[in-house]
Amino acid sequence: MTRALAALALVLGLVGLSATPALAAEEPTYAPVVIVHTEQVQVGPYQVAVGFGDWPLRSLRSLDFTFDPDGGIADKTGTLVINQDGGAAVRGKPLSRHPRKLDSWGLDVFSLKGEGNWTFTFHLDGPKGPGEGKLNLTVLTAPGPPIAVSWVIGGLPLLAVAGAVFLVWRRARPGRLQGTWAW
Amino acid sequence: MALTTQPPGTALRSWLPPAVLLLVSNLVSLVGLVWDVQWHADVGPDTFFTLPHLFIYTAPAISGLTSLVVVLRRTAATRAGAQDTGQVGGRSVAVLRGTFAAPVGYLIAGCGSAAFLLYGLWDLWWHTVYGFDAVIDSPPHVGLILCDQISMMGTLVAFAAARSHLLGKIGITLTVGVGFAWSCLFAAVAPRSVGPVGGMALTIAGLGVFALLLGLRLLRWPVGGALAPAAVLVVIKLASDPFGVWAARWYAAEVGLPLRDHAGSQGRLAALMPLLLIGSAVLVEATLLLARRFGGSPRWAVPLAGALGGVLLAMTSPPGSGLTTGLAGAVVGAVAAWLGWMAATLIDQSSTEEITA
Repeated sequence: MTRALAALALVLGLVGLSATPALAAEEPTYAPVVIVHTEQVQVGPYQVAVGFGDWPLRSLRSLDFTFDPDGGIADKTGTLVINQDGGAAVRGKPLSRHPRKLDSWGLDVFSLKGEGNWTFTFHLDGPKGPGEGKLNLTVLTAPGPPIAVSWVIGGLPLLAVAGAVFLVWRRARPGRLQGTWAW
Repeated sequence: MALTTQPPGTALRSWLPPAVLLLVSNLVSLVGLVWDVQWHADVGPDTFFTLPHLFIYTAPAISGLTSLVVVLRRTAATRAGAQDTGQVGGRSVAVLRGTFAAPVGYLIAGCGSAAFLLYGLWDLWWHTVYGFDAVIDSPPHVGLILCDQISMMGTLVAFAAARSHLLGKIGITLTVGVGFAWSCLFAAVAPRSVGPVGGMALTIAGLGVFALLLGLRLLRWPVGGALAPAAVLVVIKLASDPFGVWAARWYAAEVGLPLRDHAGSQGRLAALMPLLLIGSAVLVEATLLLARRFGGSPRWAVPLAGALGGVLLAMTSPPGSGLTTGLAGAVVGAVAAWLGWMAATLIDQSSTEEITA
């Protein structure tokens, strides 16, 4: 029992050590939204400034967008539909405030999966009535290594499991064991 | 690698503490996952050093170090020529030409945990290139998810080696329930639909039936081998639903971040856990009981039970699924049931014959 308790104490001690970097972090820090590029969109009677945290846009990047209609967002509501090359909408929800820029509508940690042409379609309603407008965007290739290579690396545990199961299966032949199909 | 047989007769105090530590690590991981998924949905901004991430990365540290200690102790005992009755986790596997003697359960859990931490490093690099967590289905995340499932399989093997003991059976029940609850995340990674077939629903159906048959076959109770893990899942669902929402809101308040405008009041991961796993378990157990009573063979009864359970899960899992998805669920359920039964057989083979307290 003493040995078991010693082993337990050792494990807990090492766990504590391994967690030290996270425990030492005083508090998470969250970067403010920095808009590096702006496009103007006419949405019916409203002019909307679309702000981008990254420019040019790249596929799979975690992006920040802000949407600022003239006169502010307080007296307006709206929806944003996003699709690629006229395909099905990947997002079609009411506009909401950006969590780190509460005086603007926006999207945070949002990525566009796939290079090519994307369309943001805005529907707004406010004091001047309803309106619709579109913004066409070009999204460049994803940064980093080829995505196929990344997926192969991400799938390696599955390949390892498949290989291990194959080896164990060949050794044990569970289908031929007498007890396999017995109650 | 060469397999050596471990003699029976291992004491409770030797196998229980490390197996419980593995289970604790699985629970810690699940808590972190529930919290993190809710955080991304309701709050959003992320760094590496968040409390949910601390839970997620502490879990493999616990299971990895536990596995390391067990393997080193088993290796030392083997080298000292002691009869190997103290450590559990299944048969010992000679690793690196016999340099280490590793109980197979702890070998699996340790490899899964070590690989998890490596994928964690890759994920950290990934975020420097792509930014933080815009999607859950990124290559590093898929690697992390798979490694966590491997670790949980190691936990299951460790408890299965002690399944002749009641505490071993309880460990199997909890591990299958926790493991399936965790694996519901695959539904968020799966495509929402493939043509007329719901991808999320099929994922839940396949994983759910697999878990039910795995538990049923390992526990070998006359009744309740599928129902017990399903009941654990229901308890986890009911607990993680309010916990996820509360934890995300509490932590957001602590670090001074607002909630998203459309933050929901429902636990995101809990929403993927099927309450009707209980119903599926009833169908599976009833089918197998009837087959057994009337002299049927598991060869056809197991896939049939899985098909029935799969239809129920596929047609009731979100998003709303139609008849086509139900039919696909029958096929997926039949295959998953067969796989679950076979996986239990392989785990049986990897375990000791008998362990007594």
